[in-house]
Amino acid sequence: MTFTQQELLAELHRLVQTAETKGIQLRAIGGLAVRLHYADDHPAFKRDYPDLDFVVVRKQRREFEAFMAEAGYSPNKQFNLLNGAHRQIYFQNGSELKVDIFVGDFEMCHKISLEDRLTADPLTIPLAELLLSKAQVVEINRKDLLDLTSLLLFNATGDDDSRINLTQLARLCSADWGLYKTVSINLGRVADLVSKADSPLTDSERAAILARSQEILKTFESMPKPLAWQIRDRVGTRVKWYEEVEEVAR
Amino acid sequence: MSDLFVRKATGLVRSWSVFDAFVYALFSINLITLGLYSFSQMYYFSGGMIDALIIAAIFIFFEVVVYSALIAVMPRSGGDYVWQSRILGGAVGFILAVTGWWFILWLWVPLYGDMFRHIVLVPILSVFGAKDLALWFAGTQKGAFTASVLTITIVSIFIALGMKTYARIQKVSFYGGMLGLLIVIILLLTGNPESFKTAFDANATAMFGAAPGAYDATVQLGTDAGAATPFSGGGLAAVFLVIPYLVFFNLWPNWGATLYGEVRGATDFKRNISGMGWALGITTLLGIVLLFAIKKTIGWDFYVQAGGAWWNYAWGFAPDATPAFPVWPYPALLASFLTNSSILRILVVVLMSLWWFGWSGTVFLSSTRVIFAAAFDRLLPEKVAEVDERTGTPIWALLLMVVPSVVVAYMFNFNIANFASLTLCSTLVIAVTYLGTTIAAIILPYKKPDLYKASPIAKYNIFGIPLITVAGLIFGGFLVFLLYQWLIDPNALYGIGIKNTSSIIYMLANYALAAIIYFGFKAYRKNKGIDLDKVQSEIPVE
Repeated sequence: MTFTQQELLAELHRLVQTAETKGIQLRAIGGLAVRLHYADDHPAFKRDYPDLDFVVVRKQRREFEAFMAEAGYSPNKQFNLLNGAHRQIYFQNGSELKVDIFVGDFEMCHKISLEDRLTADPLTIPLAELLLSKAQVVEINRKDLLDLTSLLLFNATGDDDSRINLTQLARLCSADWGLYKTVSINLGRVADLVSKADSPLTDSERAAILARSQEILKTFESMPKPLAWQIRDRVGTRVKWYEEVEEVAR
Repeated sequence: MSDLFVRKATGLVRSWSVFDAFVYALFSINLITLGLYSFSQMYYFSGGMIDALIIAAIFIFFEVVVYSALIAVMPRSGGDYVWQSRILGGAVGFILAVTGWWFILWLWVPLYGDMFRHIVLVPILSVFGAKDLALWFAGTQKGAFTASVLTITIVSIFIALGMKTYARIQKVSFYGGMLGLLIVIILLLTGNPESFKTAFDANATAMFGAAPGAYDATVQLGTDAGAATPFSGGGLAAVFLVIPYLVFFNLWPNWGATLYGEVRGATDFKRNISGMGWALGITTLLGIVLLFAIKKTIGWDFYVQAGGAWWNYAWGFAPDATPAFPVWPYPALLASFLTNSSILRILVVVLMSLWWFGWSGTVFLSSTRVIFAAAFDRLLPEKVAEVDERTGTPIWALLLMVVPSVVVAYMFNFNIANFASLTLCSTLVIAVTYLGTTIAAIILPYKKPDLYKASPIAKYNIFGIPLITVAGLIFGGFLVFLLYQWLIDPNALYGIGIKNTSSIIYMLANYALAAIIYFGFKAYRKNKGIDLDKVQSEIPVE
């Protein structure tokens, strides 16, 4: 059973809002969260969405587990038993819809703490962290790159959470050289992508994306860099700077 | 975009890094707890300790190869249970895995408890001047049982904290323990036998109220006990007879095998080998260095005699020969006698106690994964694979470990039905499990050719024979030798063979219990319409 984008978005809204009524902070992450920040249905960013991804605060993990049963989902018991403190998987009863849960932190190639950041946006994690969740992928794929590009096109940069919060980006990247490095590499990949001759973007769209990307890189240049960051910078990419993410088939 | 990647499934950063797995392997063959404990018990052999250490390590390296290969083929939580049940069949897999990874761990609890009192409680209490309490723990059955109960409590807390937190505890223990060991080795290498003898006599009296002349009295008691084990040499046959006792300490670099479903990069064969192999190599090297340092200052003969004096009395062979030094002769404590600095003494015993804390979780952690895997196959009630909603603790799995452990610890510590003689059963039953896994490894390329050919180990062959088969044959031969020595015991060296009725009954009872559970649940599930043979024919999801 496959779901249309509208059906998935409707389910995303239902889960976040129902959780809210029970006092549970649940926010969307991943491709559909990015989709929620589109200004319009741009043909350049058309993609399929195989599942729903959310973040829940760590301290509400137990309430959340009970909530998912009420919401019509069954846990992947084995996976949740072994990984449930930081990751969980659920399946909608009667369908194959998979819901992937991050508990407290988003942890892939780099770790992004979200425990205290889930109230900034009513539906998704804040834009800055959403951008980082896509830009932190070392072995980035086309979908992630398109998501990253679309975030830069449809959302301005600024100093608060209604936009891509540059202060927050600087805070997280000055605390983690590895995150800074991967994000910088992927912003370069975005520039390559939009600069291609066959890009379906207009000149003004391309200019907006490149300008916002440059703003972020300039923010990195001017952000305060602790001594540990500077030492790690000297070492560079000779030492692995990210965690390995494994593909786990289920 | 040529530099883009393709992902098909859920991305996951597993809980443990390869370094975490290395530390777990290093602690599983813990030089300070298992090593020093067994060295002190091995006082009556004719073969050299160093030679036995090196030869055993060579054979055990093939165990590392076998397990690294199986992990790379099927990196699943549950390890031996999953491999054996999928390759050898459900009954063999269940019976061998639950006896070796679950039931026999009940017997390991009083052994961990014994090491807790000798390596943590007694040294720390004594350096802080709590002589009477230290002696109560060191020399009474109630003290030993209390140490077992404390062990169960501490380990249960570690399990409740989860894999990630336990990895942090391990890391702190690793660095702190290594620092402590470095200080001990320096103290021993910079001391000399004369100053040690003086310090030993003075501290035995001052710290434990021993009668003057404890050194000479210990030499006499040890000699009377038959202390004989040489530092090295003794002939190859004699050295090989040391190994079945020695492997109580170092047969376990693969102890994390049941956890590899939670280790990053577990499909990388070479990486698995390096994690476990380095643990084996470093531990063997540290063992040689530590024993050499002991020989230099404590004196090899005295070290063996002190072990003989203690165990000859503790095992009840000479109930009237009360040790002149009234606590277990712990080399780190003995090394601390070489300094007059109270701070340094405290630092030594506290840092060295981390070797126990970093290791203690191994008694239950690996077992819980086997229990979970069996429960997911519906061979146990599903309840045992649930966690408590409030604490996140696998409460039922823990209870299945804890409750029988308390009973067995009581029987061991109070020597009911000769249970105190069963120490090496703890090793034998697990070796049988390992033999099952090794046979599974040997036949894997032929029994499951598709699985093998698709795996990363398929490219490793020796003269056209799969490496996993060759390594399995070598390690399997080693295990058969060990099992022959333990069970037949022609030289009466190990005390757990066919001449020890308690030992044989205890081990057979474990296998019978496992068989009853397996066939009982199989029949029960069949009544419910679930064919367990079918369940166990499929590779479990990650």
